[in-house]
Amino acid sequence: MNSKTLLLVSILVPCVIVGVGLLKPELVLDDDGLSVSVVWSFIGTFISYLGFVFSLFALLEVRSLSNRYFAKRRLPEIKKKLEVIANRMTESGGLELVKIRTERFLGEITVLVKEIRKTKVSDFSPTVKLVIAHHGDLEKSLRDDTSLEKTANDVEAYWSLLRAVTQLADEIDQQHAGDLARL
Amino acid sequence: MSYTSEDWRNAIANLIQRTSKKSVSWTTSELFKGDAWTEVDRSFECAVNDKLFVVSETRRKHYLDEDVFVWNGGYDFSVFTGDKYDVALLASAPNDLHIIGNLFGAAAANFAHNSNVLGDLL
Repeated sequence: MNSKTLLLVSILVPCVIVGVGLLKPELVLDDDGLSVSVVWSFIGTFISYLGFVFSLFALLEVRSLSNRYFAKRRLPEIKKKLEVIANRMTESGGLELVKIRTERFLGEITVLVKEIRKTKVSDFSPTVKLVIAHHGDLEKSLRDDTSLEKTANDVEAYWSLLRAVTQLADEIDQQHAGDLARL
Repeated sequence: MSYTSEDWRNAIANLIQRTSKKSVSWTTSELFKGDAWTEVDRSFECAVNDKLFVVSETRRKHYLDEDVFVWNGGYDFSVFTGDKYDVALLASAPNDLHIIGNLFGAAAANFAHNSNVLGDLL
């Protein structure tokens, strides 16, 4: 569950109970009605619940801070690796698919995608999905034995993958700029 | 109607693909001039139909205060039109696209290969 919905639910539930108590007191209170002790115990419960909600909020906020710090430290390095991969893909565009099979960047992309997912920045997920999809397409045409004489030039997935990889690098740049402004 | 970063990225990827297939060839260029803050280090151009595509390696002054600056490396991609004596700038790509750097690498490699750099040695 998203941390924001968790907070919203924990605030809404007591509001609903208080609302019901105000509209139909007989459901919440017993025959004695509203006595001084009931009021005080209600106030006490409310304040301690407030404490619970605040500490929940602090817990979630600390977690998101630590995620953000991790992303800030990790992303520049990941971006550099993406650039290296994009450069190598550009250089090896003229190679045959048999040779592309032995290139290291195909494996490196999978590793990098995992590392990007670890940073838990949700803005990247559409592009990450794009990279995975094109990577899968490219792997498929690499496994296909009939197309091995083709060069990487002729495979549309190769260029789509290059586009997606550079797009991811662009997005990391933008995210990093935003992060610098925020902290 | 204007071109998005996505359009530019697709167009530049297409140009890289054409370069890789050797269906376009790159030569050095003086068309792109930069501005007061930007120095142009190397520049390559190629013609596709009536358009000239120019990719340049640039250095941009980034001022830390009034008179201290550092150079920031970058790339520029611009589209020109017209003949040899009357060339007009049509558009420039947003310069935060990484793929422009890749295009520059491909263009430089293509130019080096066309001018037979290692021909006398190999």
